[in-house]
Amino acid sequence: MNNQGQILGVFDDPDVINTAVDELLRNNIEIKDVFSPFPLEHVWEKLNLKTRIPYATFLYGAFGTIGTFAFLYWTSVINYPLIFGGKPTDSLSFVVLMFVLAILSGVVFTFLTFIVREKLWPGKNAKMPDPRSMDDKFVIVIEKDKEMDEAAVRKIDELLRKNGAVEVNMSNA
Amino acid sequence: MEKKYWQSLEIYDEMKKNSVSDKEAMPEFSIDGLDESEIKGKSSRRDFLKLMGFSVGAVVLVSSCQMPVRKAIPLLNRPKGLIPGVPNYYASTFFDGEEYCSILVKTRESRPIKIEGNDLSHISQRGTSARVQASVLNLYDDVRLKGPVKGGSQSDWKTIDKEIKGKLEILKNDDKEVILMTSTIISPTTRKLIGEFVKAYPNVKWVQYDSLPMSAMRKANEVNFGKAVIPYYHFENADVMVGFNADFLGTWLMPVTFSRQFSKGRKLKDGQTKMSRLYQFETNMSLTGSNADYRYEIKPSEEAAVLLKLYNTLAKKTGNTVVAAPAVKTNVTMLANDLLKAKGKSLVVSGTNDVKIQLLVNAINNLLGNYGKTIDLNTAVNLKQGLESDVMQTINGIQSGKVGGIFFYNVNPVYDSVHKDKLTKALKKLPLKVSFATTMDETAQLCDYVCPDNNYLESWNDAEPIQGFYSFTQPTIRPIFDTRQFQENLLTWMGVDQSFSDYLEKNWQTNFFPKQNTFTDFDKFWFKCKKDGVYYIAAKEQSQPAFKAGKLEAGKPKAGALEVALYENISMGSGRYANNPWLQELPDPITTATWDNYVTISPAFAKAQGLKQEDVVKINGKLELPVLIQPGQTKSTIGIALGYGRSHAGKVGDGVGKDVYGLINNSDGLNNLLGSTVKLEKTSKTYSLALTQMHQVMEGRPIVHETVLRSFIKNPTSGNEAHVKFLKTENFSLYPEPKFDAFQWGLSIDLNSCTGCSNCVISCQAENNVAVVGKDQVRRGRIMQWIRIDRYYSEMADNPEVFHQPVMCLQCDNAPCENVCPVAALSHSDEGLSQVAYNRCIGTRYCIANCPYKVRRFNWYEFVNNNMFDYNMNSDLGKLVLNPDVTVRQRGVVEKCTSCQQRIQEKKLLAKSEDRELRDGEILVACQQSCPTDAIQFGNLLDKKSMVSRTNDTGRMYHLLESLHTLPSLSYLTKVRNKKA
Amino acid sequence: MYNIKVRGVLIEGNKGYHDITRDITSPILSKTAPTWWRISAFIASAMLIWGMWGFYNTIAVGLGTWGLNNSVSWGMAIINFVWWIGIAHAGTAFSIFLLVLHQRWRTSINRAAEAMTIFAVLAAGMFPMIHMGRIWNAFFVFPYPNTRGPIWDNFNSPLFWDVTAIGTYLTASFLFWYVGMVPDFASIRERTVSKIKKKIYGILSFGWLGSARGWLRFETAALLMGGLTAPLVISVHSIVAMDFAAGIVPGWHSTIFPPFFVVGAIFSGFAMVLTLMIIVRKVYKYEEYVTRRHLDAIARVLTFISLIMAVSYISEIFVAWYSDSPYELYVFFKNRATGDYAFEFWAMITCNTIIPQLFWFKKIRKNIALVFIISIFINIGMWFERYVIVVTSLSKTWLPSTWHSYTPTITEIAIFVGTMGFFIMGILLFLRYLPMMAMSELKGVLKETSIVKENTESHE
Repeated sequence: MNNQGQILGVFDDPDVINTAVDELLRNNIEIKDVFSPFPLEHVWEKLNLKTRIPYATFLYGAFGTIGTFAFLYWTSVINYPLIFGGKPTDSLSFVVLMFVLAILSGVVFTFLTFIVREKLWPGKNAKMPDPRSMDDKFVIVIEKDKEMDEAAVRKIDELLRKNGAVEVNMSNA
Repeated sequence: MEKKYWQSLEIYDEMKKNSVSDKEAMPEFSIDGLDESEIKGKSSRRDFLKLMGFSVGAVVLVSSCQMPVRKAIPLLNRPKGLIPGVPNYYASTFFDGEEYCSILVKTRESRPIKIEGNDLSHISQRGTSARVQASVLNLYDDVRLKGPVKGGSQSDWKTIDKEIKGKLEILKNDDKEVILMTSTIISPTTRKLIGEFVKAYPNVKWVQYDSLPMSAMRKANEVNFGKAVIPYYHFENADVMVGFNADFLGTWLMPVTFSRQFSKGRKLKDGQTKMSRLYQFETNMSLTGSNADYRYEIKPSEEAAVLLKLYNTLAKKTGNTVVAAPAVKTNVTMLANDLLKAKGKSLVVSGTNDVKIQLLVNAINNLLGNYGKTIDLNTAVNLKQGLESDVMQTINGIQSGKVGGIFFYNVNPVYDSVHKDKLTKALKKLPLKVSFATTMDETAQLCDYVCPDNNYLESWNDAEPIQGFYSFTQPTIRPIFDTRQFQENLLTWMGVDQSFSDYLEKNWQTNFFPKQNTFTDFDKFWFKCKKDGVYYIAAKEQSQPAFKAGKLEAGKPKAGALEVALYENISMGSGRYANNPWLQELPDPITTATWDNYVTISPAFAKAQGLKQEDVVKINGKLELPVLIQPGQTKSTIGIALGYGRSHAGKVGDGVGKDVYGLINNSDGLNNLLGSTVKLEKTSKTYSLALTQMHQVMEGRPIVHETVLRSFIKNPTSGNEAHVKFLKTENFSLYPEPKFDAFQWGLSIDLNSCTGCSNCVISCQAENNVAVVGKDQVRRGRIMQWIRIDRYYSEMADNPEVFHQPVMCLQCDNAPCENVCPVAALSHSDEGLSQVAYNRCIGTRYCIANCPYKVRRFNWYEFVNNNMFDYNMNSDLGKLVLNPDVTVRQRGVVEKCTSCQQRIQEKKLLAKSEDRELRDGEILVACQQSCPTDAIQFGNLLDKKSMVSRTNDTGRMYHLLESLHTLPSLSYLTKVRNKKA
Repeated sequence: MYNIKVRGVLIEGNKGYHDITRDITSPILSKTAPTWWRISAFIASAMLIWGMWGFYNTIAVGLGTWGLNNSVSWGMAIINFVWWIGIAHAGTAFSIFLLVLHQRWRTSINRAAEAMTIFAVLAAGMFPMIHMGRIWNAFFVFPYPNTRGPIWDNFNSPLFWDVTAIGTYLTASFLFWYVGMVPDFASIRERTVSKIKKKIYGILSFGWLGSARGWLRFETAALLMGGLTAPLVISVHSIVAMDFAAGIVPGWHSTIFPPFFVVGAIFSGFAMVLTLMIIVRKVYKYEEYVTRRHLDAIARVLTFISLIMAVSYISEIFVAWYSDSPYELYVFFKNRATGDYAFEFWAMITCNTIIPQLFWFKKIRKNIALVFIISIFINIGMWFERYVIVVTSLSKTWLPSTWHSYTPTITEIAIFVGTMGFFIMGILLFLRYLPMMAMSELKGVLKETSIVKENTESHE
């Protein structure tokens, strides 16, 4: 879709923004995103955002467990079996390493998944709609697109202000 | 790669021959390489030298001596019998003037690296002593003189010969006496040679010198039998042995021989239940005392009285006349009864150099009819021929100016004579002083000329330790330095142009060859002599000389006075090995102290005097020594070891300990170790001793299992209950029993035979390149020796029972050490050995922490090429003693006993190349090889007929700390004491 | 409408979101470091340099420079290793347990606690390395393909588990820590005026935006990583405990060790947190963030844990007596309680089980100075515990002939002090250049009402 710029509704209270979001949704205005200095769980639900990271993490853990066992078994039973203290080479104590390395692979890959999905990398240049959302402001972003005429824009503006936006800014593309 | 065809039959034969000669290229006990030329005769020595060429080259290069380089012959064509990488063994003889031992010398690439016992000798019988083992290191000692010395500066033989000859002539003409002072000489050929030398220079007077002679015994025997001899003893025939201050298992006369005999009489293998009994009356806790069944503490001054009391008791019971005797509280009735039960099968000896006492001993032995049974006067022992009187005469002679010159051979009186001060003063006046010492020792550095003698491993010689038993010394390496054998000197100065080897050979051809009739060809005879190293001429049976009673008397025991009992310890002896780091670091089997001598005092005395371990005391107001509290030391006596406090031994030995020769009791003209009384005062100082064992008792843990003969006969497993319990209740595991298919190497140690002589410790050190770490490190508990001889006391009270237990790696099948190594540096071989990959070890020391026996050693420093540890491994010459078959461990690596892996491998390969099964007893690990009491057995546990399996197959077998279920391959046999209860 | 109080305020002196940002970022944005900071930095680096001498001495000369011997082959190095690992547990214990348990009061402490974890683990990690003397061989531990067979490692060696566990622990807690800091880096990035700082924190912030979807993924990832790392708190020290428990040394070979060690670790960790936070809140005037309620809570926890410690000690001794094994009996009754190591033993008992009981009294809990002192005592006590375990057991094992004592040398002490210097230096740098409290989380808990909504929703 062709970007016409954005409408930024700036709030300074997380609870106020809740009601604003409700209102906007009731007037079925599509909210593009909400920028906040800390997570607003209830906003996610209203915008019903979902993530599949947990499933990924489970796979990583499983991989860690099985991979470790495979490696241990191959090295100390198949590839070069040595006798240590008269114990069998395929030992129950593999469990310890399987457990630890499962966690390792789980954590590391989850982290990677997070930054990949979120397209974060060191030195990425962040385009904030409104830098203050890193400090004490909460910003609702609404796309302006073609079929949105002045009236619509004004309506949104009013909605926002009515619902406690301290200011509403327009950014034209 | 083009194919090879043989063009002609000759070449074909050639090829075959080569392949054959490769077959025989196998290590074996022989002087292989000598024989051919030997049998051809005359040119033996030159051939021998040729054979040595290569190694000499190597040695020459490292030892910065003036030897012309052209003598270093590279092996263009391999000398016969010299296969690089394969050891050669040469039968030879060790005699340092005090101790005799018949040995095999193991050489690699023609350099001697190890001494082993020679089982053909029925005197030392494959046994050696720690000193014998360590003697190989003296060959590579940096302090050895590199050539003749004149007035303290390097010289050459030509000038030396000229000048000494000249001076001898002069002294001959204005007939001044010239003293030739030698150690006891047991070599018939050398004696003959000296005789000829004396003929050539009639003004020469030959004096034999011993720092600790046994003249009293000779005198006593002269009185009683008209023969001034030291008799040969047969401890193996004695059911009851009584020792009076005679440490015959440790240092007295022929310890190796006596240990062997002693253990023979006490072996309990193959169902044998007869065992001799040893009573020991002594002042210090000696090695013999620690092995005694009954041990009594006596003061030196009580010895005669106790002996007389014993004599009287026996006399009473046998209806002989009783002699008036001073009273002593020591109870001898049980002993007397035992002795009478064992008439003719008993033996009483005393090590005290006091005629009174020796007469008493003879009288008692005569009462018991031991002569001809356990004591053989007809085969005299030729050791210890020195007489104090001769030395005294010499000194007077010098002072009176009657003597004009003196030669010292293999003696160091300026250090170890009682009259050292007189002697030193006297020597100043002499115009001609010559020493044949190999190093600049105390005596040599007072001499005008030093003509360094060869090391015995570089010399030819023969020996007659006891009458009719001959033994041969042959060089195993060409003289490393520009040295010359003593005998060669005499020959040169007599103007005889003949090498001593030829002289020796000629002497045997003319004087000994005719005496035998087995050989018709002398060369064959001579070859056999050298191949076997020993030769025995059976003396014809003759009755013992008749006994003429001597005067029996005993002085009153001194009351109150503090009496000294000096002693020689296992390692230092009289002090001639002070510069040998191996011996300096050998823990004393009783005190476990290294690198020092000290004053041993009894716990009671310590309490009375308020003395603590390591407090320094002043003796007679000058000599300062630390005290060591020694259970078993007689109250109000002290013991001090001789042989320390050398001032010119070398960088290792100088200033180690204190010299106490001054304390020898010379009141009646005889050097008596016992009897002088001293004043002892406490000082505020303390001095730290390097002990290897801090805790002395077993805390009631089943470590050394012991029982008494009686209960053993009733029940073979008596004393071994812990093992029985283990088999019944504790012998199970989560894991299946480890299985081995071909071999499972096992070692068994008979605690009943082990006397704790510590010979195995040095043997192992020599075999496995174990580093010397020095006093400070020993104090910090970092001694590296792979064998540790644990010594426990039954309790820390006075006169405790003593246990000796050698502990090396037990090669556990469930080894705790292996489980914990993170990098898999430790693993179990399929022959049941616990292996270490040194180059894989990263030094977490987890294995040390987890080894219940603490037999693993960590290289805390780089012990090689490190000036902090300036011992043999820091010197290019000293390193020649290293065994090329064993890795030298680097810093940060854990090491331990490998059960002589290299020896196992060598024999396995041999068997393989000869395409046969490995014979039982073919592999002799280093500790077992030289054990004088055969306490150690090594072999295959899977072979039920093997020696070790049969040894283990008794009720006495147990493993150390069995309840841990580490399943060690090393087993112990219960110690059995022959006590009433 | 929104002013329904459901719980006491977590952050006092009614601050706004902006105040939080200002307070937390001001030390980072200020041009010069405060004097106390410079002084302590100087001291810390001095300690560090001495420690480096210790390292040099060990590596260049050899392990002989330590007081160890062929009987007591483990000493200070292992003691300190375990001690540091113990301290390292606080961070994870705090942030992760409390995160998983939605204990929101943790927010003002967890960041610092995690930082502590990181530096403590690093400090601990130095010891196993230097303990080998030839650290250049350390890589043998990794099962890399090699030409020696290839010989892999002995994967049943507790020491190998140890290496893996510690490595995992370090990685996991670092990532968790870092992820938590990303939004705060972003706010610093947006706040700072200096070009360089903007660049640096820009790089560190990975270009974080704080969009709703971003926060969702952020929260999920953080929760998952936290949840995964939580078991490590248990496993890491259990495995360290197995180093001992898997050995057969009397006094080590005991099934109680893993839980016993974990508890001990958390004990020392909390104590260390207490020590540090008391200092930090003083010098940074953060009393409003780290309130007395926090300290009080930690103190209560410590009291509880010290009781668990007491139980462990007692049961250890009981089992020794019950086993009736002469070796065990000797270690606990002769060697520790009454023998050569009685002082260390009783020091341990006093510091770990008796002194913390003072926390029963409200007065003492309220008295910050006393709390501080007691926390120090606990740290000392825990050090003694490790000393008792490692040294007393090894110095008198199975064969009395091998008994030998152990005294640390100056080199070992230098290394220990050095790691302390390293730790302090790390904390100082953290305080100076990193957001020492999670701003986003603080803001999250600023308004009580934001919880109300959560609650109502969770009720539906």
